[in-house]
Amino acid sequence: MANVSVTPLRIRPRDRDAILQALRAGVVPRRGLQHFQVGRADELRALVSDLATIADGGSAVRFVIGEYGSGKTFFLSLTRAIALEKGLVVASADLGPDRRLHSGQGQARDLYRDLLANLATSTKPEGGAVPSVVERFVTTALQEAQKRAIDVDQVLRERLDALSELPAGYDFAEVVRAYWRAHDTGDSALKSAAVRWLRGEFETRTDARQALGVRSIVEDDSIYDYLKLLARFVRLAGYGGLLVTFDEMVNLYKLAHGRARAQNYEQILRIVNDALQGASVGLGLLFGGTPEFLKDPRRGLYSYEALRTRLEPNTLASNGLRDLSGPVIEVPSLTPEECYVLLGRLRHVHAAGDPASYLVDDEAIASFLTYCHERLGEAAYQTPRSTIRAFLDLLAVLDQNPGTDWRQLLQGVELARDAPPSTEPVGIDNDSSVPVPRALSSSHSPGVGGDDDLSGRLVPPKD
Amino acid sequence: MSGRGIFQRLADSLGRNKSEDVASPGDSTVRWYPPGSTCEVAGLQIRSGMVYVGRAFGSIGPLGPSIEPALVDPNLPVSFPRMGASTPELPYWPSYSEIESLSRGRYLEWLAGGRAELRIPIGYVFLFLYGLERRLLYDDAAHDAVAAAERELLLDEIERLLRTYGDHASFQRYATQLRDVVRIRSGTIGRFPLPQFPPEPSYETPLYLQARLGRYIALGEPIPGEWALAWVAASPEARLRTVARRCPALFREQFLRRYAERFTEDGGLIVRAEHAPLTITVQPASASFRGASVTLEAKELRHLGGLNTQKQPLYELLESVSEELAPYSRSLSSKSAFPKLASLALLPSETGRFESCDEREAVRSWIRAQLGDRMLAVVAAADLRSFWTPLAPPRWGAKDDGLLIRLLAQDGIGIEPDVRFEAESLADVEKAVLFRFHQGEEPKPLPVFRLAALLLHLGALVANVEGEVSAVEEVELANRLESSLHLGRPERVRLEARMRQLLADPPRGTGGLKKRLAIIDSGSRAKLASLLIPIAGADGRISTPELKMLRKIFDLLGQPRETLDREIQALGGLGDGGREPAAGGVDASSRPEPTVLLDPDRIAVRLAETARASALLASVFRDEVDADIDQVLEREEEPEMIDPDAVLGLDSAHSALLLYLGQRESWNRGELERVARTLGILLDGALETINTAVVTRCGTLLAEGDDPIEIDLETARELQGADLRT
Repeated sequence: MANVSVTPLRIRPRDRDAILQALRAGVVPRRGLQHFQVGRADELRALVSDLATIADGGSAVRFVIGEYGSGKTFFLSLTRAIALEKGLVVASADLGPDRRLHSGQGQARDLYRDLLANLATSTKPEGGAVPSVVERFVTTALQEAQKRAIDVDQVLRERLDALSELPAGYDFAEVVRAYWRAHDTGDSALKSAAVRWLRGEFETRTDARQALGVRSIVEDDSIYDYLKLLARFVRLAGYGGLLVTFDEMVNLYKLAHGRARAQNYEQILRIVNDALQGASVGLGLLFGGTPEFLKDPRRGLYSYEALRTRLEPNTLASNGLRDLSGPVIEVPSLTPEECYVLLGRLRHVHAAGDPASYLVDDEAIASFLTYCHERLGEAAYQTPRSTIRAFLDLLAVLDQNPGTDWRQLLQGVELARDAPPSTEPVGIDNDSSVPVPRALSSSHSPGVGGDDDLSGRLVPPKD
Repeated sequence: MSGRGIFQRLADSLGRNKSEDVASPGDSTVRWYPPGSTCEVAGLQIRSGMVYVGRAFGSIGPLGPSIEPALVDPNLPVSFPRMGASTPELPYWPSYSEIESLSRGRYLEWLAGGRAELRIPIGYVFLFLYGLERRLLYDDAAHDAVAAAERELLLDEIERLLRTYGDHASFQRYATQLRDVVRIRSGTIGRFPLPQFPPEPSYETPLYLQARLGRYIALGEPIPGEWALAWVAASPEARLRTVARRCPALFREQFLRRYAERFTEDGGLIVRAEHAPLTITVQPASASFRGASVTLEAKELRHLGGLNTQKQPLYELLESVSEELAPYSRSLSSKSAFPKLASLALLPSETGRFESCDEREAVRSWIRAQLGDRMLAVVAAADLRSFWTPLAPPRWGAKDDGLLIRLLAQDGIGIEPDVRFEAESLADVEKAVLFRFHQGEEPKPLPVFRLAALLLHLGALVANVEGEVSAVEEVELANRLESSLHLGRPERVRLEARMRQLLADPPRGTGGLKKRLAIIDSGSRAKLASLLIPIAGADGRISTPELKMLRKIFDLLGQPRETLDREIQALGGLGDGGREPAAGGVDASSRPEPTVLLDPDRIAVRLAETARASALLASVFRDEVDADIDQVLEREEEPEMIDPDAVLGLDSAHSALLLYLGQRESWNRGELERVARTLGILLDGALETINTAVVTRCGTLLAEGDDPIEIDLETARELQGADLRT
């Protein structure tokens, strides 16, 4: 058996704990992903080069497509981490029954709110970075004003002038200036109004006019415009650009109402066009979804002819050849060998990067995988969530009971079958005038209703 | 010590002789109250003195504030906080004349109360320290205005403050620096306390350590172990491992032991250095010194730089001691649930016996009772096991054997069966043997010993096949051992114990033998086989069961049965005729092969690809583990920064905020917003900027959370200890 070892990055204890905790709970960790990435070097290189393009003031769009459990979310998270590391600002959100790119009843605005609530920078990787970004911008203006010995507001005007050419750009600039005024005069109500406006939390234009003197607010049909504004703004504040990631795109495929679906796909077309033509500045968008979301001829993106022609793979690239210059990156399910390498890396993470502390040898990993395969079949490595969890549980037991032999534990390992959730159309569709209760939309959490629904872990093993 | 001349430079550098400013009791405007004198300010009696009181008293350096920060001006308004009101914080560089009247009242109360209150914000303590700095570094060092007796009293006060407020890293650093400089200058470095271990984390070797070591080096004398340890432990190049922090006393002891062994001849490492005398640049905490440089040249001492080659043995020692103690240390970690006795067993043998606990004493007294004066005693294995908590209860594993054996070996007690020497586990036998051996007399598991042990095992097997080992057989067994194998004393002692054990609790079958026999070569097999026959025949006959057993063993040894028959014949046909050949019964039924799932070639491909991905990721995610600030600093050595207060390349306002943050573990947002406002910056933006700078250098964030804002003190301390200001 080949050794499961790759010259690894060193592992910080905090990363180690975060990784193990998250994976044992069946979710993708928020940090330290680089420590157990397996393969996919070409895909990563493509994405890293996208990020460089964004930081260069360019634009990019990618669709990360993979089966349930194949590691899309992992891949998106890894890209997000790389982007932060490269000095970009990242906004992420999951689509859901009440989170869409386009709608008439607030679902798109809610998606925008999610994005802004999750706005992250390298120093605020957990999100909530709107005030930090704005203040960093104001601070640079402040310094320039001191240097040039002129009024801060004048510097702000000059700098924000670049935004005014975009829709809602004038108001955006006004709000940033209001933030500075609020700070300068100690007006905390004004300050919080400015942040709320930026986060898309104003319900009506009247409220916004009263609080900030601006005419527009973030609305369902303008969220993409605001994202473009935000991308320019973060560059003015000294960041490389903005990466927006949308996961669980399958929720659009699930929309029962054809027109609602088509409107959302139109929005995607607009984004793809902008990106391919380089019309947006410093902005990248990343969509994660399952193959049916992309390819289903009736309800997938391919059902929309304009999108199909743009997204279909290069016909020359097949039979193992790949073309990563197109917007679609397919993430195939893990092979047994990849899963083997993955478990090897997790062993390395568990040992905090010290091969001398490995709790099991390579043979144990192979036996473990065989054991899982015997019980779960191909799912053992194709949707490795259960396998990973069981493996980490095993390591934990070995760790806490030195001297125990893994062979004895193996027979006691329990594996839950990790089943993909339904992709049946969602029965309730807002466009057919059945409102989603407010409570449901506010309690939206990542994963609910998505293809990575964690309820999979509750499914009892099949006999 | 000759520091004076250089301190004189301080006075010179100011371009004028300010000695008229030196506060003396006769000065009409400003008065220094020496230790023990009493002054009264705002109705409060400050009994222990050590403050400057008066007005119109300037700073020392040309860039310092116009009024000496430490000066208590009795004419300034003072108000006293209400009972139970919280103490107002002070700005980063407090000055008595600039703080609010309420803060002044609080400061005077603290002074009058004996400066012992623990809950006072550290800014107040700094304010007091500023006065001591002025007295000791300026009045004394530059103007000789302080008597030796007063100097000692002030040093006592510094030591007292360190005991009370030393937990605050920044304060600890400045106060220690002051103490050390004064001691070096006044030639009293002999009065430094022994270095503590582990040392406070610091980028620079502490001054007192530099001074003590510098003297040994200047004189070419061997460095005592304590100071050698302090030196290497404080070196930025050495990384103290967890073990040193987890069990400092043990670590120190072991280091000193190894150090003494390593340098028996000279009595310690002798370091020779021709180069420069020790030059110390002091950075006082007080803003009063801004723009003035305070330098001390101690000719009798030597600079410690550039001695890495000579220091190498110390690094090696540090590393090897860490290695030695690491298993013990790991067993103590909160994650492992190691039983106490098992932990002790992991200690090196010469250290282990000095560490004890109730459980260990219980085993010891039981063993004493069993052995008495004898060299060897047969005990019930279950009794021995009852003292031990298995690592994975309730099961007894091979590791339990190993550790229990190591534990007793620390006391010079051996156990048989001993799994390290191809014996069964204590869990699988009824009787065990305890025996004494001398330190350093543990046999190594040499092939010849293995062979002897196997012979014993097989012999006991054959002799016991009838349910009892006859006395003659026993003697024969012992004789064979003595005559056939050339063994040293430790091996013979152990083999005897093994024999006692085998005789007290004889093996019953050939299970597990095949594996043990597999390791010996064919020549030895033949020899073993031939040695067994006389043992079986020692009582004058070879019974059918004995013959059967011999045949079985011959099969296992791969020896032809004809040899057996021939040798029995040669002995004089002792056999009572075993007709039917008992065919070898050990059949290793091989387990079914697992389903072939993995293709090694494809694994290799995946590994190669993963390695590429890893390399790519490594270029993105800097190696941020243990973000080695020292290395970062080394790169910084060429001074480029113009702003003397700049930290990490930040402007002065951000730098000041960064340093301010490091004073506490947690701030509420309001406090910091006020500070940021004072500095003319926006809090969130500033934190973002600071965090970005810190994360680039150290790989960790300094400040996290919105309200309260939590500070990673470890990082803050690194930044402070490193002193990035110059």
